[in-house]
Amino acid sequence: MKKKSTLILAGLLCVCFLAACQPSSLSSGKKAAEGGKDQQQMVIAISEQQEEFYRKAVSKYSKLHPEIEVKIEIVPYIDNTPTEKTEKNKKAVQDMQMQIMAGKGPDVFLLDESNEALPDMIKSSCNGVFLDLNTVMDGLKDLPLNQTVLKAGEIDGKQYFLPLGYMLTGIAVTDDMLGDWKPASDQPAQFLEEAANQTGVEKFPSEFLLRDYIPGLFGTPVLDYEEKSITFSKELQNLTELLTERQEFSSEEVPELPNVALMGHYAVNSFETFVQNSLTSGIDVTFLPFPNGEGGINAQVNMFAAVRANSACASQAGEFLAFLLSDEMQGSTGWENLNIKRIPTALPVNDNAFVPAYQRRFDSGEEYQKAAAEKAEELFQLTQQITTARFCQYENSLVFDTIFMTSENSSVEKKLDDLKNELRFYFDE
Amino acid sequence: MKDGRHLLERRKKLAGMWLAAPVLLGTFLFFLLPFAICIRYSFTFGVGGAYFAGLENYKDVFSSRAFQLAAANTLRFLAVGVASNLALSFSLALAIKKGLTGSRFFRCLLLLPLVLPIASVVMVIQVFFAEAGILNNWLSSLGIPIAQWLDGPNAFYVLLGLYLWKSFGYSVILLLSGLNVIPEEFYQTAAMEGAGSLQKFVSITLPMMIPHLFLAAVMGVVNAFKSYREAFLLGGKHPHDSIYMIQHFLNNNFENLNYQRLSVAAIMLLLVLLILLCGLYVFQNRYREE
Repeated sequence: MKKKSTLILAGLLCVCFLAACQPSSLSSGKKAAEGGKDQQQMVIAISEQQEEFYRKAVSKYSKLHPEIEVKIEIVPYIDNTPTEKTEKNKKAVQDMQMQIMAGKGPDVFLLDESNEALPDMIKSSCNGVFLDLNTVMDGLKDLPLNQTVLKAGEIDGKQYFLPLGYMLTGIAVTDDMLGDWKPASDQPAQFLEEAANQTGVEKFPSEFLLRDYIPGLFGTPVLDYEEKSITFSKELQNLTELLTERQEFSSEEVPELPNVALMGHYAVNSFETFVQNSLTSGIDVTFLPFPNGEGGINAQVNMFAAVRANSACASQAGEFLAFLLSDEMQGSTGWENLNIKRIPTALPVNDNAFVPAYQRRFDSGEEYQKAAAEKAEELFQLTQQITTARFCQYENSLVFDTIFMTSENSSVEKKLDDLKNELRFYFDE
Repeated sequence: MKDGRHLLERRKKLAGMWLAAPVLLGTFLFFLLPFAICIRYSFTFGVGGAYFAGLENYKDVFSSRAFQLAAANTLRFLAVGVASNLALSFSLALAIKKGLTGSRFFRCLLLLPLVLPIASVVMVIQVFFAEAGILNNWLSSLGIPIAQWLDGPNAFYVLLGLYLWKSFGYSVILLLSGLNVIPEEFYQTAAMEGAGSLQKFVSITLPMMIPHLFLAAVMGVVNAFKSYREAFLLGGKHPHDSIYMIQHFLNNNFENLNYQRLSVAAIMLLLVLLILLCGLYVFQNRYREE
């Protein structure tokens, strides 16, 4: 009797074990049979700050593809203020992470640099979280996309995530400040000092903006996944020390230009704002991008998409991403009918869409349309000089938190050494 | 009559099974089933274990420097900590049994570490052992070079000390209860036969204490694993190499959503613990039989 009951229990255990060993149910692929319709459901996770634009884009896509039911989940923005809302948002993000690792959760991720769901996208890609988009999107390399920026989403020859937009950091100057001068420095710290000397200022009022993007200015990554090494270069250290030493300026005391500016970003100090003002004032502004330390310019991807590796809607997700990459959705023509208050600010990765998008952004009236078009074309030529593109969100946040969000009084070199020590098992964990 | 007794026994067994069923169900749902999923994850790759990876995850983990360090540190901590704990607590238990002066006071003091909140204790440790802490101030006032207590190899000994301080009292109480159970007549008879102290210890005390020593060893192992809490509070997610334990490896992989590596490490930990505890159990049984 004892043996029989033991055998029965063991049998039950095996059955349950085998049941647990089923491939994770691809819940998002379930067919919702409502009133005879045969619809597949695709779940899309959207960063809270991009919600308005993507909701409209999804709505437009759904009209074109009624056979797919699209459900949206918002990835909340976490600002770390000690409030109940922040705790609730953190819990929501944790739940999403658990779902993803259990093989469920959203099929498509449309995220930006505030992404907290999967902050280390490259590591997540190496852990098999995302799908190689080349398997669901044909001819990515043949599309009119900025191929250098597209490569930012490539790991080990596989396109794990798709850059949808990017940004550049630089210095905005007027033409008379520039004169015949051409920057000679190829390192960001030296460039910053050289530009300040040339334009006759001690410091730029909005230099503090650079603190959030220090590693992203460089073409060489801090975290090298191929070599499995962590390197804080001397040049990075120099730039960090320079920014640490400098104090913030009050913008009431100093003129607007020259100043540090971000192109393709929603910050107050975006270059696009300076250009809009310059169109009406008639004083032309020029964008001098920071050098990347390798003789070129580095683009930082700040809007991107990815597809969960075991999604049942992989091919539909691929079609949706192709829709987001279209001239219409990347440029302004598609935005006109979307009726949105806040248009995307990232530089479009679709080269065909760049000039129309920027013409719309520089919309200061009919009399300035020609000037706006010329300026957009000028900036487009600048983007063709990009030599490296990286996804830098994680590195940027590591350096920013270590150097500027700590009360320690030690030197920048010591802080970076401590950070390197803290990350010594990064590739092993 | 025989049938009646048989029926009564069956009813008792059935009643026992029903009473144990909730616990068994809970054990199955919250331990065995997740462990089965864990085993599956260890042989797969990708979200939800989408792709079969064979032994790749095991190769990956075994070749990982972090895992090797964590495993070595944990085994070292277990070996040194548990052995020291047993030796010290057994010595004190014997001394208390022999009527050490102030032993009543000691018995109260021994349980004090168990009631103190660990976060407060760790804060005191940090103040004491920090680079500019109390201990280094004393050392420098005596002209002795200061040491890195928490950020250097000495962190292992600080953690070991903390573990011994916390577990020592409980082990003493456990072993003392075992010593009190040994009949005095055994010692008296041995004394009459001409046995010396050492002979009495080896022939009477040790064999009678084997089950209690086994229990103290098991509790020592459990408490050694709980020392991760102190190590985490002292050194964070990535403390000095000397106190980077297997739990750090598990916790960090969990936070990085690398469930495959986490599963492999957890299975290895279980296997090592099973071997250790089964080995102790077999040794205990054999020694008792002899």
